[in-house]
Amino acid sequence: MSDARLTSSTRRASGRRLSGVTIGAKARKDRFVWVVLAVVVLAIILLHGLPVSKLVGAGLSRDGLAAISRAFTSDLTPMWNSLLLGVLVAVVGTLIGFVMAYVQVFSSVRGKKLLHWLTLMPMISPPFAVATAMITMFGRRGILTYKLLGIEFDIYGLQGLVIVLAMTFTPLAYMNIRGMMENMDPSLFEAAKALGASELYILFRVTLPMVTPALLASFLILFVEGVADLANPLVLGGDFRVLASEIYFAVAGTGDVAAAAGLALVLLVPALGVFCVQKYWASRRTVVTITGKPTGSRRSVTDPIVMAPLLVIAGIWVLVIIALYGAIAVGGLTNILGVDNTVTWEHYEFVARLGSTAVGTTLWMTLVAAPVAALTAVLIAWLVARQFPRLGKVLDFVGMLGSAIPGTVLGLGFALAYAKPTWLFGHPILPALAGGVSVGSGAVAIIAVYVARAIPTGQQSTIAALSQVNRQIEEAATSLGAGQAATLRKVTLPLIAPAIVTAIMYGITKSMTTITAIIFITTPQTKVMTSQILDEVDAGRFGNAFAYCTVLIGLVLVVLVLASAALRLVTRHRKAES
Amino acid sequence: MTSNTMLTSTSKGDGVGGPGLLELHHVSKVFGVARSSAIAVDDVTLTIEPGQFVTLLGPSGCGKTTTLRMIAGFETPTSGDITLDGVSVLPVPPNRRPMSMVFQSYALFPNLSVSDNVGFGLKVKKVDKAERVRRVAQAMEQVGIGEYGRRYPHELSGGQQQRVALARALVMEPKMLLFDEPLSNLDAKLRERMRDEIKAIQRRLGVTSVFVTHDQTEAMTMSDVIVVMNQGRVEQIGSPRQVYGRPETRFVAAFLGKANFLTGKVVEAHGDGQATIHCGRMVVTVPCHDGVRVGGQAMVLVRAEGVRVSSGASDQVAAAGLGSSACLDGKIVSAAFDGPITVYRVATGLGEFKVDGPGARDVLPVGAPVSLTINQAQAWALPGDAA
Repeated sequence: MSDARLTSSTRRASGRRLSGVTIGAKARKDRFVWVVLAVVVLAIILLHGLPVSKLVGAGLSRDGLAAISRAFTSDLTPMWNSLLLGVLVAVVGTLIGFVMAYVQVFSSVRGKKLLHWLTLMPMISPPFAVATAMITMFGRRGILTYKLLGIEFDIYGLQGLVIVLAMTFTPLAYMNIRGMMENMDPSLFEAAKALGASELYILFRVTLPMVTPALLASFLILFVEGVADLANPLVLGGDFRVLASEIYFAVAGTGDVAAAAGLALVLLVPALGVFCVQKYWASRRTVVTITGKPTGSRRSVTDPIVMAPLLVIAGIWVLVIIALYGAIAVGGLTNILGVDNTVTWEHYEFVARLGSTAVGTTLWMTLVAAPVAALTAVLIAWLVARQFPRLGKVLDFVGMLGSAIPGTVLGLGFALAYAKPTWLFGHPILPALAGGVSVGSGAVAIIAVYVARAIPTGQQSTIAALSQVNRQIEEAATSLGAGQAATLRKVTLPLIAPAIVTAIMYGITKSMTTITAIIFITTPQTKVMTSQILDEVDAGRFGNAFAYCTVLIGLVLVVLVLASAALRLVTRHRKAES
Repeated sequence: MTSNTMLTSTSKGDGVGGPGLLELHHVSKVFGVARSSAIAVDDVTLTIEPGQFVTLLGPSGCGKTTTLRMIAGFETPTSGDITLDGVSVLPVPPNRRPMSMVFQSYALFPNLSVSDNVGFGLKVKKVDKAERVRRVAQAMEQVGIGEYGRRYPHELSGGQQQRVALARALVMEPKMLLFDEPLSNLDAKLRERMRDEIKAIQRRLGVTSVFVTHDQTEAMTMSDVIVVMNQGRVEQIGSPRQVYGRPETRFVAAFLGKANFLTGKVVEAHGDGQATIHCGRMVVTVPCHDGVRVGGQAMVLVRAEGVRVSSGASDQVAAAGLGSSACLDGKIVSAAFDGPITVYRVATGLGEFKVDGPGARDVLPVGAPVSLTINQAQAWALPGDAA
């Protein structure tokens, strides 16, 4: 078993080592495989290909090109601001992510589990939750900054955006880096210790170099997220203009879709560039230390020189998170938090009165989208990892490309592509899917965006899971007479069930909290919670927004708890396998 | 019924139809393309008779597993053909070949109980439940795991897991059983026991079996026929006795057992397949390969157990009436006690010798002068140019 694993991880290094195991394609493919391939390709074309190509078409029109040239000449500020914001968010988020991961993996402090969940908190909350709470707690008249400390801190603009975005996306960096740290072979540290290295030395010469790939990956992911984020600049930007918000204002303000598409292309370029760099870099550097058996148990780092500063940073971070989420929870129950702290149910009554349809709609659309996304992701992963070793790389690349397309850009692309019926060779093949007058009043397009946004992560996690499954197990099924469809259904899927549940969990979380990608395709008939929240924040009714956020966070938490229960159920008998 | 429809209609062979004669015709397998390609299997031709237990033996990287995987259908030969009872199996996908494979890692389905693991193939084949239950129970009984049906793979030891894997393959009543190093994850004692059990079951059911291993003991003790492979090619096909005692190449001679080689000149060939060979000052008369020619070079294989080590110089030994011309003086370089035998390395004028001495006797000290007596009837001469 460990042999097979070793082979897959060292395949690059020893391409000529052919003796033992399973390199090379299977002999013949069932028709089932080709059907799956067709479905997957069609899905990718509809979810990414068509919207992006429509967007490119519009962006390269005369008005679009004019907007692009303006962005590079007379009006450079938004682009410059976006890049600056992206870099700062990436640096801060990655650093904090590293600290939180290190403390989580290597420290022996109590309450690590709680720390873990608090660190992940921003990921399961809607985009404005943090921003709004930030204004309330740390703004010009913030409860902590002004009322408590007497500082008049200007939260609007770059500084506020960096803090809020870093907070929003730190969980991504944290998960990435923590995953890699946990995979490090404990005997490495024992070896370093035995050779006389101090904890500090180990941190810089062993731990850091080993997690560098994860650091770089986080940096790139956070950069793209930071550049692409629309929601927070809308709330916190002030007069700090970024590309994402310019796109929004071009559509919402002047209705100049071509200009918006042009700007979206400008935004697409750095995002795709970063994606390619990351892919190239990841392909050149094989992921470290994937071994069969763990060779020992990890011992925690106790040296205060290393731990103390990291614990302090982690502590401050967690306190900020607690303050912000406290504000959200309390804010929904008070008249105007910080100004008039009388307890009231008014906001929740508002949500119950006007928001219940939005809650219902968000829920059902999410619950439709997440399994569809997970299924598509699993099928892509299966084709990539099992059926088409060479073509699969292309498929993998195209599938992951979806993660590189900023939400704003994809959303605009969907609006452009599906507001009217889709034609192919003179025949309408799809009715209008986006907008108020479309089929399902725009719900179809929103669900499609949810699916498109959730596929890449699901794909990544299922490919990772598949590479951990010993191929001999699937071959055993084949040898016992099972065809490829039966093997996938009866053996492969049960084995990667945890990854599928994770993908569904992620899909639900992401869909429920997304605003950026659907802001252009929400309709009055199809109310989505996140856009309702935006309306409330826009109108300055923070209390209502807080109540909404609390409800949404609660819903996401319920879903997550249910999903982890499901996860425990499917992994009952899996102790021995990987 | 043509054999072709037989193959597909009875898919996982109910033991009906042909008897299970497998032939490989000039089978090659090249991995990769162009610059980075590597030949894994190189022009292998092989016939496996029905009911035979055939072992593919060789060092890692010799192409034995690839050959097995081509038989199973997991790899497609780059060229050549594989036939079962005279019909090519290449167009048949692996799940429709009447063969079952037992994997090195056992490859049990971790999410299924033992009896569900064993019954997996029958369920795929839609065998009705009563029949399935009966056959599963029978197969589990056969390998001695009758009482573990409700357990899950991770609750079993390595040996028990291997039995489940075996039962899972047997229950299909395949025409052929394919074993891919199934014992190499077991500890030495258990390996020995499983070896005997697999062999016993195979003999009882008479099912044609192909067994891949790098362990020569497994190959020798279990096989009817051993196919020794090296660098993708077949070096020799023969019974365990033949490949051990009468190897055709230096590689086979060296791969099996502990071999010493002497080179010399052939001075005389006797009609009975023996030749007299001058190796330095020593003259031996030993059984020889057909290719050995008078006047040519020869390589004499002397197994470690085909040499007797005695303390003292050879003239003393000769004086004691034990001597013959096949005597050699030397000095002990190292001695390792290994239970029934003591393994010596002895430096002589003809190079270093590996010698198995009796374990019961006192171990001779390092540096002691000894004489080696070669048992000429057990030795074997190959032509000097044998690769």
